[in-house]
Formats: sequence, structure tokens, C-alpha cells
Amino acid sequence: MTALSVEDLEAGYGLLHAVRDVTFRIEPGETVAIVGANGAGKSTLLRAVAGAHRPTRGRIVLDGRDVTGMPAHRRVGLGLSLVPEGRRLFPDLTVEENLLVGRVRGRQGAWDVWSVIEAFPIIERLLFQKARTLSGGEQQATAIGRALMANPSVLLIDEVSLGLAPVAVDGLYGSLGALTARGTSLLLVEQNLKRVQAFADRILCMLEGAVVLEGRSTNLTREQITGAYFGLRGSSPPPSTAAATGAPS
Amino acid sequence: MTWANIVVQGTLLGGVYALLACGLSLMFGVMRIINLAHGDLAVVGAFLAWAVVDRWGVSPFVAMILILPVMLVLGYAIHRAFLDRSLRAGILVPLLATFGLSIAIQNLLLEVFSANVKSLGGNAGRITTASWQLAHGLTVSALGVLILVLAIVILGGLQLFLSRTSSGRRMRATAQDPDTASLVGINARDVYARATAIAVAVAGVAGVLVAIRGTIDPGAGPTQLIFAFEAVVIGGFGSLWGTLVGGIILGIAQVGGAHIDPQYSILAGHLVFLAVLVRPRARVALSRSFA
Repeated sequence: MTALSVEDLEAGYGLLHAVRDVTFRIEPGETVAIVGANGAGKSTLLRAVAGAHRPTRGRIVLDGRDVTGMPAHRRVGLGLSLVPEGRRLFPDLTVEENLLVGRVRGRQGAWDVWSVIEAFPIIERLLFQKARTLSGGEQQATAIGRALMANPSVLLIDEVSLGLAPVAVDGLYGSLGALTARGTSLLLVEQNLKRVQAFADRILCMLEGAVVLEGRSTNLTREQITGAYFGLRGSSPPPSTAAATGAPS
Repeated sequence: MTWANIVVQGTLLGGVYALLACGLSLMFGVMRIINLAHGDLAVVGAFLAWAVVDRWGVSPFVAMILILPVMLVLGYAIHRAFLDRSLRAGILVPLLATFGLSIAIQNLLLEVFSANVKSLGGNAGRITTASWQLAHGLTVSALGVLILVLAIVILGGLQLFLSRTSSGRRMRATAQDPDTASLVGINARDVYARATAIAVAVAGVAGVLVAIRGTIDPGAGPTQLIFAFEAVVIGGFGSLWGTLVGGIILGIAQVGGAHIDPQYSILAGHLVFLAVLVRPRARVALSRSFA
């Protein structure tokens, strides 16, 4: 059974249509990455799927169950967790407390505090430290660990590597690889194209709220992705355009 | 010995104020609501206990335990029926909603229990008159000590609940960021309703103790609210142990004022409160916020 199915989804802010007619599927254990420029609608799409933003149209199906109208907390109970942009840890709770609040009653699975530490060893020595004192990489590891505590079947991560040191990003991706091995499906928003091509099974490229390119990462060339990223057809973007808009690395 | 007596009597009085204040502080800390009906809910607890004592002739302390589940359910229902909807409409609407609730409660109490002043002191037994003389001119009442101990136990219990239990952690998480809390599977509406239930139950306990120490009437709620509010502001909003410190400072100020002249009792408390409002840095921050 498909882990997550999104059909004709539309979401926005007032008159602005941030997400338009987005349709995709994720199979169990699959990793899908969403790429796109700032304002392409990636974060809104993830928030709409997670239930933090009400879509104006479309359907979201999780493990065969329609969750479109459900509040976010109930979707977590059904196995859909989001690591939001900016990590959004509870700053005055310790790392251990942040992990423990992520536990969902009645949802069984392999993830607990110790298995999260196993996946993200950097947080072991920080367990009793307030979340506000953590570095960016430590916060991201804690935020992903907190989401895993709900034993999700589908994990959404917004901006995996944003603001993190390359060493921290290496560590995080190493740990994320272990998640899919346990059968968790991943939907990532990532700006780093090299990482995306190396890590994801499939790539969706968004432009102005719509998915303009979709394919297996092994089948897509860097030129195709960059072209879709900037809305260019059949050519790579000129270097000046890339520099001006903060091109993907 | 006079100053020692003022400090001791003020500290004992502060126990009542701390109990009155901690529910107000909890609701503000978790939901950012100032519940203007808080004092009236304390009076509801006192009247319910009075009704139990009047009907079955039990001790007011037994009645206090019996009304606890009723107050918990009442708090939960108040949140679901009134506050939940008003919370979604901005910060002023909950203030207006609780103001309306306060008026409704006062009129309902007037209708059901009449305007007569009532007290539970007469049914509480010897504890209301028992005292210990510590030194010449320094006497402590057994009831005052009991109330202070009860306040410390309840505040300590609440602190343990918030820091050590799953529900408490979820409450603190929701207090810090309700939107993110929903993303980790927490039903913020349910957490808010539970916080209101606890706040109303503790207010009920405080109301019973006020009625054992003195008297209550259907219009007594706003006065209790003012004392609670002052204790919370002096001790620091959202801090449980701060409310105990705030209550004790308020109590000492009132007893000190009364020592100068009985009519200065309440005024002295208000002056300390105003001093804190004028100089926010003067707020006592001896304890960490529970959030």
C-alpha cells in the first residue's frame, strides 16, 4: 500500500496560491526530495500535508486513510510527522523532555529515547541540557529524534541542512539513511542538489507552487533539475541568474 | 518581636494568597489568559463545600476533598464551553468572556445561596482556635500553619506534575509553542482544558480555606481575584514558586499595614503591588517559570 498519496492539492494565503495542483505518491521506505527556489511552495506543501496549513482543495491519503480534514495532532497519531523549518524545539525543555513529548500514546514502534540516541549519537551527552543551548546541528538531530518518537510511517523534514555546518549535515544524512532502512518513508525539502541526488530515490522540483519536474534521481541530470528550478526549458541557467537568486549547490 | 510577629503572621496569610494565585498563574502560563472569574470560582468552591457541610454535616476539610472532582469537571467544562472558542478570537475576547463568566457566577450564587454571609469556620473544629505560643508576643495559629503547609504541598505537587509527568511535559510544551505542540501529536485544546480544570480545582480549595478562615458571600470573588492577581504579579507571572513568594510578600505587607493602622492592611498590599508594577525589576524571581 502507498505510504502517502497527495492528489490535486492546493493551498495558499488569501489570494496567493502557494501550492497548485500538486500530486505525488510515496511508497513505504522510499525517500522523496522536494527542491525549488525560495517561495516555490515547498514548506507550504509540507505544512499542508502535515495538517498545519489548511488546503483549499485536494486530498491527502495516509496508509489508505483520507486525512485531509484531520487536525495535525491526529495525523501524528496515524503516523505522519513533520520536522518543521527552523526545528521549532521547545526551548525551555531539556533534550530528553523534547524527545519524550514526541511520544504518542497507543502508537507502537521501534523508536524510543535510546534508539534515537543510537541513530543520532551527538545528542547523548546533551540529554539534560535545555534545547535553547544547542547548536544548529544538535537542534536538527533533536527535532528529527522528537518526530521519530511518534514512530511515524512517513516523516516530513523541512530544510534538512539549512544553516548547518557540512560536518553536521554529513552526520545527519548518515542517520537519515538508517531510517529508511527501518521502513520509514521520507519526504525532504532540501536545497543541496548534490545531497538530494545522492540520497533521495525520487526528486520533485517545484516552481511557483507547482511540481514542474518529477523523476527518479538516477534518471534526472543536474541540468534538468537546475533548468526546472529556474523555470528554464532545455538549457542550464546562465551563471549570473544562478548567483542572483541563490542557486542550489 | 513585633517585626518577627508581622513576618510570621504575614507568611501564614501568604499561604492562602499563594493558593488563590497559583491557578491564575497556571492559566496565564499555559494559555496566556487572565481569568477574571478566578476569584468567583474560588467562591463557588467555598459555597459547594458549605452546601456539602450543611447537607451531610461533615468536616469542611472532608467537603474540600469531595468537591475537588466537581471543580475539576467544572473547570474542564468551562474551558470547552467558553474559553476554547474565545481563545481563537484574539487576546481581548477571553478577558471579556471571563469577565462575563464572573458576573454570571456571582448572580447564580446570589440566586441559589442568597446574599447572606457564610462561614465554614464553625464546622472546622478546634483547629480554627488552636494556636502555639512560640515566644512572648509571638503566636502562630494551627489553621494558618495548616494552610501554609497545604499551599506548599499543592504547589510542590503541581511542580512535580509539570516536571515529571507526561501530561505535565505536554502542558509545558504547549505553553511554549502550541502550533509546534500540535505537530508532535499534542491536542492543545485538551491540554488547555486540563490546565483550566486544575486551576479551578485549586481555586476551589483556596475558596474553602478562605471560608474556614473567615467569611464568604456571593460577591466576594472580585476581592479574592485582586489578592490573587497581586500575588501573581509580585511573584512573577507563570512561576508557581513565585506565586508562593508573591503571596507571602503580599501577606507580610498586609499584616505590616494593619500593625500601623487596621485600615492600612489592604492598602499596604496594594502599595507593594504598585511598586512592583512601577519597577518590574523589583519582581521577585526566586523561582524559575514552570514553562
